[in-house]
Amino acid sequence: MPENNAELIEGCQQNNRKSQERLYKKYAGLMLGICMRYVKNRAEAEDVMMEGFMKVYKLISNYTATGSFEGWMKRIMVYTAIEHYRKMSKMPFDEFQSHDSSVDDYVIDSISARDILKLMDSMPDGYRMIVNMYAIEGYTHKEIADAMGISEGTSKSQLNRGKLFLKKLIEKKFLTHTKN
Amino acid sequence: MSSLKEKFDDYREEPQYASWQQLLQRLSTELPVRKKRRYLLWILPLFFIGPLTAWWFFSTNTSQPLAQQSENAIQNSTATPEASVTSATLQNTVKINEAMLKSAPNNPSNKAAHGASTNTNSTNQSANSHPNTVATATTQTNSTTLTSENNNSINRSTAAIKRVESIEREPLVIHSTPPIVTAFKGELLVLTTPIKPNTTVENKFVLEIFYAPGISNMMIKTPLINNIISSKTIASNVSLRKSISKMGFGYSTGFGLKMDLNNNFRVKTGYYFTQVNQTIYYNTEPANCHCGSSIALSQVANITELDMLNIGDTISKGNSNSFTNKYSLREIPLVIEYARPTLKYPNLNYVLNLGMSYMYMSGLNIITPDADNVGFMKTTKLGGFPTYKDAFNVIAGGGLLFRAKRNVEYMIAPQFKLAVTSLSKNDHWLREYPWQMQVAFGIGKRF
Repeated sequence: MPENNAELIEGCQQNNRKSQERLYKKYAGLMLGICMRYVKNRAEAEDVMMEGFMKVYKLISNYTATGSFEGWMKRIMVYTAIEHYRKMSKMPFDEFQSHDSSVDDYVIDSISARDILKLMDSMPDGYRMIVNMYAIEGYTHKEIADAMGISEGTSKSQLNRGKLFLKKLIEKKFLTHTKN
Repeated sequence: MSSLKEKFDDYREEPQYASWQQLLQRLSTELPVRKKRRYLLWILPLFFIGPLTAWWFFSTNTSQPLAQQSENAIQNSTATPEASVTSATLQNTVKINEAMLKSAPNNPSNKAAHGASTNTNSTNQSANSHPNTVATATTQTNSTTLTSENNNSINRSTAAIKRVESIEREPLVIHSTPPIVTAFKGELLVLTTPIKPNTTVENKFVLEIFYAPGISNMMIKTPLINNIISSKTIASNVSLRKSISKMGFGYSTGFGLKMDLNNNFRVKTGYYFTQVNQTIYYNTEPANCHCGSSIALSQVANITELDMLNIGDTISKGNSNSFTNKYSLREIPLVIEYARPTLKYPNLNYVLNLGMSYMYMSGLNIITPDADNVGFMKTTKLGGFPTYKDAFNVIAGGGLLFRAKRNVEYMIAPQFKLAVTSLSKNDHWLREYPWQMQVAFGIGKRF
């Protein structure tokens, strides 16, 4: 029988363990996939995901279904990852500099998500966070700036640098191999 | 970069199996599940029964002191004739001038006379059996003569007593062997506060068992769908449930404990087991399903799904199957009962009941359309779908109560019970209110 979100939400709002478990089993994979993009190793990502789920369970009573439930959960995970990162370290943010940092879509299409994830693991944390938030989650610079406590300019700068970094990584890992 | 987003749209990484266990541990410390403390609900009847018991206890105590104290006074006057006077307002209350009794030690008349010095009833008899009268007197047995001129004290609320008259009884000679001669002289005291009849504890309570068969149903109401769950399918699920369910036969049984508040009113609590039954009609071979007559059952957790019937299928009652949905409930009632004797037969009373009960689900065996409208499902375990919560009933009824013997009573009373709060835990999309129309047959024992 397919899971019914409404029922799960109701159950979680009533702190029902079975509903919480079902919700976890339904979304844990997806949420861990998000967390993996924000932290460098799997164990850390699982910690962030668990922290995120705890927040979901605590905040679900306030959930008003103004958007999709999945989107609401993703947002919580991203914010939890940012919070985690901010606790762990300070990001080196540079001033805005404009670069041509676009990566061709056809190149990305030819690489698997898991490989991109591996590349992103070797990116500096600041770049990785902002590339994730902007390019994958679809946050605006203002939202990123608010979430991370930085200026919009810094967000744009980090995004450009991050994309440039990722482009170089892709070129180094894949395009050079292709050329060879 | 837009393809980067697409790349990760549904990207999943399966967590370790143990991660849920770790999360569960955190949940148990940070978001503990509150245990249902049903015993707290006993507080509700206790709020009534406690003060009422206290009221009853103290009211019966305050009705007795005067009699008790008068009795003490009599005993004081006989036991300590030399006691000093302490009461200023009631001077010379007790004067025993003469009391003489001559009798054989084991003569029954002597025993009776002796009793007059030690218990109130006998004393009252000697004071012309006036209910509010206490005559102070003393007797002396076995040829002993007592002459007392002392002012004996009566340690009591003197305002409640006034002296009315002196009484004197001429010597009475009972011709027996040896002859008995009694003489009596004393004062008649009237208690201005009437002595209430000595109501005893055993008259206050009635323990009753009953059985109440009747009709019942689980009333389904379409809730106001809020923005959390705004699904047409859920609404149609509720509509389907309403359209295929009919009332069934159910019953209640249990025990009740009643306590008299006064001659007419009683308060009742107890513990009831209630079975609410409802008949569900369903078709296993709908028009748009060519799937044979057998029902395919598939087990999903606690749920057995009858996947032959879908929400869009026509429910044809003419050739459909039926199933009795059974909801087992426990109830703790709090009812006020009014009883009034009939004019013709004093032992026969009209009775009216009004109150409420707290109830919770203790078991179920039901078929219901599932939330996803995949089909019908059957569930027998609490905690599966749908989940239930505690609720409240209102109870109203009336009937006859017959006091057959001194301590036994029989009751026959039609009653109606209706849940005023929904039993469904997730009542955002489904609200269920059980009702029962019953005739209760009971037998009670006073104690």
